[in-house]
Amino acid sequence: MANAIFRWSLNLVTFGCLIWLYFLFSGQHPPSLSFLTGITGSEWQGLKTVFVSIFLEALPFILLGVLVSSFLHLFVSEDSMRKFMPRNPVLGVVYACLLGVFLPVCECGMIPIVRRLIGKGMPVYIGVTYVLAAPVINPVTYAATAMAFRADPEMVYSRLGLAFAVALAVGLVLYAALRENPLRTTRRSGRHDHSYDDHNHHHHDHEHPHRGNRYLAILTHASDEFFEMGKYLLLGSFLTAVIQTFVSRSALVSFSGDAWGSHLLMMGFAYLISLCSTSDAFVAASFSGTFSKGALLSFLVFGPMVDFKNTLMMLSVFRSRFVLKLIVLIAILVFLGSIVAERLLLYP
Amino acid sequence: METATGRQIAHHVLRALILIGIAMYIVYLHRTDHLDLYIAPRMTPYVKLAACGLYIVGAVQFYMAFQLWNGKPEDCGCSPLPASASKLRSYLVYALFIFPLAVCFMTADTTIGSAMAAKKGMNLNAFSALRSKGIVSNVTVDTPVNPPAPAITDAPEASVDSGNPTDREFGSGAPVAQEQPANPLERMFPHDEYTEAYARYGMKIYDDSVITVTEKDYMETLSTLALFLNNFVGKKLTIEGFVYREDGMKDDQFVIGRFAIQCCTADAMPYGVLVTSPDAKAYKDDTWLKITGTIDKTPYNGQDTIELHAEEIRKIKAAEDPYVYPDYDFGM
Repeated sequence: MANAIFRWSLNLVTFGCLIWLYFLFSGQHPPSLSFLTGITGSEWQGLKTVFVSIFLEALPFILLGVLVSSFLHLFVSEDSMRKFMPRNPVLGVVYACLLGVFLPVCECGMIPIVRRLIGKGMPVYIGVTYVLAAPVINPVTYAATAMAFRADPEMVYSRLGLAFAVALAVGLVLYAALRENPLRTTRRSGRHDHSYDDHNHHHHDHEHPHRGNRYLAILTHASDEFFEMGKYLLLGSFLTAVIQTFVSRSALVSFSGDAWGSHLLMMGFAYLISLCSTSDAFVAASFSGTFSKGALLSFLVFGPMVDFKNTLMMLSVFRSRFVLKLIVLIAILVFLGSIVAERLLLYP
Repeated sequence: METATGRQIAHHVLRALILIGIAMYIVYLHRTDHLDLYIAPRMTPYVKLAACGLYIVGAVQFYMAFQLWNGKPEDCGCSPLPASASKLRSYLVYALFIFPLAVCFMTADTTIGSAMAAKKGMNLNAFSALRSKGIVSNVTVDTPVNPPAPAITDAPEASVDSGNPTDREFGSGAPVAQEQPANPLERMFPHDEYTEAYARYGMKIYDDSVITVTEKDYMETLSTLALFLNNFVGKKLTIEGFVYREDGMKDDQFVIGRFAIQCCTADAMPYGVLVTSPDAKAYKDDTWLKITGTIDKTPYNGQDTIELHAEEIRKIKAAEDPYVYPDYDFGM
């Protein structure tokens, strides 16, 4: 289904691209087109600026992610993987929650790595817990949040605490409830893994006569994955840029009714703007005059776990029904958790 | 078989071109000094590193294409050739990369300005985070309530709205400035451990004949002013930035401000000061100005806000790097 959505949006975007290319190459300036649809020059500028900045900012992390992923693919066997995994599921989930302290990778870079790790036999609940927890529970995000909320140190701790609690709960729910493999199996990656398993276990030396090529193979695989992830990144950054350019914050704020509404609103806002977890704290801090701390907390915890950009990337890896259920589960947990935290910690 | 190899070569070449194209775009931005328009300086090394990585990955794609061209099959058996239903579709994916790249190369690099500020909402109270906590109301109350007289003579500005009992309600329990500092200046800038950096900065700039909102400490200076606004009413201030207007502003009002960036332009937040000037109308949105004026306090959208009565307005060239960044050494 997600594939259908992707194909549909891809066709739409491509169609749009072709029209624009026509305008570009036929010497007509794009603003003439944007004028027709009512987009002002400054909005177009804003769109481009935000799009390029999101893409460039995510680029190093994606690249790192795909390189690490193909390194794991070629050099780490399932057996050595298993050695690092705790057997006890509860311990395993706790371990996944805290892994971000040692392996702080941005959420964009994490998805290809985790896909690979799950392919290598890491249990799904551990992989997903890591994806959820690591963007918040790491030293970089801690420092950024502490700086943005200089005056409210409890904000930092409740952010870390709630993220830990939510990731832990999701991990345990997945452990208890997940029966089927949620990985999307495309024809291509299926063929991939299969052929590589063959290499690693049986006739590795026959198939790889020149060893130097293994290093080249890392880069080839990295390029494959870069294109696989990159299209979602492009689409995600573009749509995020559209949202940032055309949806005004004050209009959003007017939607929030009561106190609970503001929690939902901030979560929705976090989802839409898809910021990196290292920079979202400052944006949250700018809302402090408008919303309660509980609402800001829901923004700070929900955003790094799930947002628009990373939903698209998750859809490329996991089945859409799994992603949907996961998002709903996280949303409910963060919503309830932020309300409880507000009552207990922030306004005792 | 023949055409399959041809298609593989085409895929490799297309990929190589796109990867190197992205890397070239980064180099181009760096060469034209425009990388800072998109990415905060502390993130740029990573982006440049990514450009190097893309070059290498792209070069390998060329190499693979060359190998195939020479008739050597790919030895790992995992070619990037998508086993797709439609050949056309596998190429269309590349259009998704090529199109934005072409547009980005062909359109001028610009910055975000007042239109974006309107969407994001200008921060005129850089320290609203503290206000919600009640520290600020404590600060404004202090001086006159305490019996010792010298404070009042030393700091007339500080007592502007003092003794207002309603302010006390917000101040609730926070034990700010319990002990009596000997230095009268210290008493004007009461603080707790979290606002100490701002208080110290406030004391530092308090005696300046004209307080300058520097590029380095843009947000920090505005935060300090907002936090200890009463102390600074009547002082002179110089600030640079672009003009911005909000719905509901009077004819003689506008905002002068800049975007503060943490990582990339997507997280930009506009910070600014409300300016009043009889010839405000002469300055269009997004004009860069340098303004010197006197600080005042005015209620705006229900909050006490800095208001700058402009005395001297000069048009300036937009700053080379239009954005400001948080000062990570502030208060260290």
